[in-house]
Amino acid sequence: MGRKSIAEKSRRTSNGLWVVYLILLLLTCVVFARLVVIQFSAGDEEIFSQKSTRHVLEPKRGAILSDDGSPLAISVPVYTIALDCTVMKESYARMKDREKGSRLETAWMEKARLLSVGLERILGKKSASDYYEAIRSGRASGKQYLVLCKDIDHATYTALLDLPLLNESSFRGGKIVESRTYRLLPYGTLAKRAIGYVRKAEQGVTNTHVGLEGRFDYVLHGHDGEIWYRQVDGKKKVRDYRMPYKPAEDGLDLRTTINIDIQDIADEALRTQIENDEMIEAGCCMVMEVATGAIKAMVNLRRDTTNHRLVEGYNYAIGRLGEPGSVFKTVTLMTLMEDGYVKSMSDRIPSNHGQFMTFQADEHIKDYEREHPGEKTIPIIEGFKVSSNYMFQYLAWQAYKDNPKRYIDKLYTYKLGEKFDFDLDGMGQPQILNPDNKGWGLTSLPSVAFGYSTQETPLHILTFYNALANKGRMMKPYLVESIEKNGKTVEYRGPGILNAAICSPATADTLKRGLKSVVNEGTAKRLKGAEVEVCGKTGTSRALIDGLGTFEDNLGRKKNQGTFVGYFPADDPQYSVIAVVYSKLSRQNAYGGIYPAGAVRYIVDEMFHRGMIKTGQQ
Amino acid sequence: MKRVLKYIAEFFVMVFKGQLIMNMHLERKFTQIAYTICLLIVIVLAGLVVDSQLVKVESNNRKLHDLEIIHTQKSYEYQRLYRQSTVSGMLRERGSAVDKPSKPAINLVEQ
Repeated sequence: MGRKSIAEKSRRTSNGLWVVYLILLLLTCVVFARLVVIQFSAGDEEIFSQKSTRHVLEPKRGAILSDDGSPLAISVPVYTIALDCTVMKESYARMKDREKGSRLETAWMEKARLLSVGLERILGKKSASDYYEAIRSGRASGKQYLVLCKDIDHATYTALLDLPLLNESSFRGGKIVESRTYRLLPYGTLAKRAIGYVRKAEQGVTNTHVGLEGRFDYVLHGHDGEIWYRQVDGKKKVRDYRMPYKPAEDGLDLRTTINIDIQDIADEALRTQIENDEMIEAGCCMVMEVATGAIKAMVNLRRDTTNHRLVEGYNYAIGRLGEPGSVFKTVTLMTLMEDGYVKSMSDRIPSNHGQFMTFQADEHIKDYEREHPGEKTIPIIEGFKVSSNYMFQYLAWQAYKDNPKRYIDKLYTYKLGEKFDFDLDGMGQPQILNPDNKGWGLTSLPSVAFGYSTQETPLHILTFYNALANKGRMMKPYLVESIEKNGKTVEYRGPGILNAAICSPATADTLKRGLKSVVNEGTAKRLKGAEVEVCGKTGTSRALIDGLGTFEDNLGRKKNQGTFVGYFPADDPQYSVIAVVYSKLSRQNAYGGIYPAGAVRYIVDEMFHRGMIKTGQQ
Repeated sequence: MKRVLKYIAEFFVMVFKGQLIMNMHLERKFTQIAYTICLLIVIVLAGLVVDSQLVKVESNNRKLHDLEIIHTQKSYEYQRLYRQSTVSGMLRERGSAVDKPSKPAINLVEQ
């Protein structure tokens, strides 16, 4: 009995071991068979191997944001899809089984037909037959790069990848995909010139870095990374963790000071003023926050020579130099007050029929004399509000004829002779005629005093008037508030001071009286009755005509620059503003009191209506 | 040739019956052989599982990337509508009487 149970037990154990052995044998055969299949199934494509391939990780370009974080410029990828029409053609032709090769070729062309139908449906640019004919003739002629669509967005790209041939690998379907980063501007042309762009250096292109995009390219660009991929079963690719990995460092974001609502208002203001006057070739407008110097809006419009529409082009606000004209009189008056030559706006000077030196007699003075018979003197405020050239010629001469350098040096302390550091490249270098120059003559001092013989940019003039509004403290204009990463501030730039006191608060208050009179009774009457009181000055200057060196050509035509610059509300300044228009060569005048003042009136009223001006209303 | 075929056939029968191991006197090492084979199979299977997970990871990364792009494009389309002059234009086109404010809103301040 015992021998039988031992034998039985032994037999069962033997059978059990045999089953285990069979299972292991089966599994080993399966693994071995799989290895053979993988090794030989690669066909004409890449042979399976553990070799890793290196890929560059492109960083995401940083965004440019408005003051409240809304994107002004963001990046998205756009795609160009092309087709290698010759793919698999030779393989099918060389097949030993000709019938099979022919069948496969027919199947490929059928897919091409379905692809064409899909392209017509999704893209809609050409008919299906046009697409098919292009592919068919491309395959016949051996075309290896047939562009199907260019610069499509991601959604369209994803939809196209589901179509026949494009849903296969490049080696079977012939798909070629190229992507590039495209910069989107959600607000269209608003602040387009200030935002700028970066482009490749090509023939004929000198300026590749423009605006904030150009100036801060080193911040926005980021750094490339690298990653290694290896191929796995099923011809898929996965990251190779054995190889070094460097993530791409995305670019940082720029938070600007631009307020998109104020920008929209300023753009509309300037556009509506000059759109219909073909004689105006360009204009610019800026709004600045008095307390900080932050630029809330910067508009630059020029008339396109082909379709005559206004487009954002050259940055006139910082780059265009021009003789400021009468807006410079405030500079002269302030200097006279600070040096004690003028005590108040009520001070009087001899009227002298408006005649000074060899300058043309001032008609404003003659008008005053007619209205006030018997008076031989005229108060400064009267001359200021009508923008009398005589007044400032006389005052500057009387005060500085023995020491004109003192006056000129003062202009430099107001940063009017300096190209200061700014958040955009391309600022014009101001020019001020000074006694050390060869061109300095007897009439130079009076000429500078009323705004000629100097070259200033609109930004320089605005910065000066902003300082007046700020009780003499000259803030440095800036566009970039901070540099951020994922919403957190990496570098805060903020306000800065150019000159702590260009004048005393008392002088600034005295000048305010004069600037108010310009609006209420003088050359800027268009601003009288605005929703909030505005202080400011108009200016109209003539530019020297290129090639002639004169202000007028033989047909009596001239090129004007009309300016209005000021601040509001008058008694509690929150914003300063400048609007400048540039005329083409024409007989008409582009007065500062017309289009520029009109644009500023629109800005003031709209900002008030939208509650952007603090009035203490509850 | 017949002899060769006969030897091959005998070889497969020996392998199938387990006689190969017996003939090579490896029966004492059977446990170790079985263990080694199991280990190899586990390693291969584990590698395949890891690779399949990595494939899912890459697929999810691509989906995330796609979603980021879609989010950016949606943000762009949304921001385009934020411009007040655009909104005013759209209202005008639809014949709406709603217009820009003619006076600022009155701010209520908590005392």
